[in-house]
Amino acid sequence: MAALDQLHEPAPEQVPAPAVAAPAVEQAPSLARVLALQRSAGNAAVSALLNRRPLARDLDPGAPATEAATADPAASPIAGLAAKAGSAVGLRALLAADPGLKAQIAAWFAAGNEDPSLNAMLGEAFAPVAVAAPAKTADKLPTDPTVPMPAPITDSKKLDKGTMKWTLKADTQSSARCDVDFKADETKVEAKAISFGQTVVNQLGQKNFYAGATPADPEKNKSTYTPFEEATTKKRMDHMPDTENDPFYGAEWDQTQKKWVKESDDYVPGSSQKGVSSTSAKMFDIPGAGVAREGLGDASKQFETVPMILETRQPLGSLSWGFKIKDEANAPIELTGGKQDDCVDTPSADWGATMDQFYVGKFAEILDDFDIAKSDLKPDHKTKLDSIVTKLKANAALSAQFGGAADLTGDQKFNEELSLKRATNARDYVVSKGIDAGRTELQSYGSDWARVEAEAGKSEGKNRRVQIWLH
Amino acid sequence: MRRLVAVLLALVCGACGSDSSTMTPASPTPLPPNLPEPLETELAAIRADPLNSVGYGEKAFTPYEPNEAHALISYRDPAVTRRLLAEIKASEDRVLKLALLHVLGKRSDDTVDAALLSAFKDPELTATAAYLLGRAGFKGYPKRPRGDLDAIRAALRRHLDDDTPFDDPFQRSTFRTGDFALAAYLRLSGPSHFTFDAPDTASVVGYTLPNFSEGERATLVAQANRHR
Repeated sequence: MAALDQLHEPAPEQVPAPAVAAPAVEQAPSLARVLALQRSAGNAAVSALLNRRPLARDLDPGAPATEAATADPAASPIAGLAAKAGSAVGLRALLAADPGLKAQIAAWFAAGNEDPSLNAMLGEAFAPVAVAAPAKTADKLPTDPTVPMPAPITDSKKLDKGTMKWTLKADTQSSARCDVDFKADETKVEAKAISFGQTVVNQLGQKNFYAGATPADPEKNKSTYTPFEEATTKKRMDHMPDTENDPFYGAEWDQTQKKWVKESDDYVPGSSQKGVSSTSAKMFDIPGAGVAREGLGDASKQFETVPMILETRQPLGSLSWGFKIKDEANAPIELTGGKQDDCVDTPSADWGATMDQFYVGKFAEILDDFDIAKSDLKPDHKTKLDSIVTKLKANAALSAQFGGAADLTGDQKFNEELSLKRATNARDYVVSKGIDAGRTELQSYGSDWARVEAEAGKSEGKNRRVQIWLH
Repeated sequence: MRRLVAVLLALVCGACGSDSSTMTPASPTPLPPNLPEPLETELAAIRADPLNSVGYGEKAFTPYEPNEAHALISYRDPAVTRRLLAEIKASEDRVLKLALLHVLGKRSDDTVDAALLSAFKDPELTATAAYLLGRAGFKGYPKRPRGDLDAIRAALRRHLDDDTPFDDPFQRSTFRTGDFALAAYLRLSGPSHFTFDAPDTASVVGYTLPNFSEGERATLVAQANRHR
């Protein structure tokens, strides 16, 4: 309410202290009514009223007619107000000294009277204030500007399969930034694409907090995210459920190029050619606490960032990090993890289970165990596809993405064609059942996206699959 | 008179757009084009509680997360974009307009940019439309077919000095409208073409909420005005 407060409380360096104490907003019924009307009917309605009739009477039929609205305009104190004020600063002083004046001004103009000088003076006195920086509400950030930010943590560690480098720092008093770089050891790692599988637990008090949450409903969207949560730890893969079909942080599948590409310039998939060279995988994250220090409990976000080979699902290391904010008015942001001991060779025991849960939560059905080098649908595949047809017919807003994949045996070119054929066969089946092909999309991953960990050259039935994402 | 009304409205209403959850009458008659029932249901849910229909993202670079609009965002028919724009133009509820604009900006059809440019002309929507024009293709915002990027950049450039406060009901914060235009301009032009005070800013400018210092803003506006 800073702007409204200006009407009552001129800046001390501009005018002397008002002779009359400034009233609280609640003591100005006409403005309160304007506020209520704006909320219920919008600015245009308020504008129409201001242009049409005297403010106070229109907004409060029981209120007595204002002087400005009923008396001879020339006799109104508003008529000479500009001259009396002399300047915008003077006008603010007069308004501060006589809080009832503002309603008279509004009513006087609304009654159709004209005073270009006063109009211009008002515009100057209450011109929109340039905002140098976001004026965060006091309840979200510490009110004490001297609350210190924690020192950044920049470190690196040589692991068995490569070297992890990271910087963890407070981005603001409500968010942290973590930049991670993993360079595989090319003497040990063969990988077409290395990216990250990052888990998250995001808590506010005793509750889990999800994207889309509001202060009024911290668990908003719980139903969207809980299918992705590992049952015991409540960890989930850190991804956008509405728009991303993969669990990887920093890479996305490009169906045109048929390969993993970076999500942005600063998210870079890495690679490693055994005995030759490797390139770093890079990512950054800036988790924020939209609600903190507001009486809803301590805010905490914990992440486990795992560089991994996308075509084998093999993890290459692990870094745990995060931040927390106590539920106190001036609580500083505190970084957690990010130390030497938080960077290890092997992910936590539940990381793999959390990754498995991603596939359960993401895909309406997964047709797996295709025969090796075959794309024919099996009876259980058709049963699952019948379920897809039912869901698509029940909800005209849904589309289906069919993503075909092959295991790690065989020739790359052959696997690309095979995975596309598997997806095509599944798509054609639902189209044959009456689903418009325009509601479907095909992707084919060849042997570049492993659902379960597998070694090159070894067949794995769960990777010979078509995963169907309804969205 | 119009200026006075604007001043009074700014004074009275400038900081009050954050609590429409208790009001917002349902639209009496649906606007064309009619949409499939699940989408109409989502629209009704947004109308019923626009303030809580947009929540926080989990990341600083996804500050807005529409809650009730999964189908409105993913349904491919451009008719959805037309309907959302019609709803925005017909509404007198500022918070509802902003909520619907956030939904529109996450869609992927090739009419989205034109719709956002249309909304950009409404002073109540300029900041949010600028944000959405700038952030296609990253974390939750699809790589939609882009409109005339030169025209978009030109429109943004005209607002680089726009000091109008933008009271953001979803963030409960006030921003400078021009900062959204500046951030979007830098993003669309390629952050690598510009020099930032903090190097990290380049990776998220246009995605995070704008937070330029006065000095950095002045420097970047000058760079933006030189950049064509």
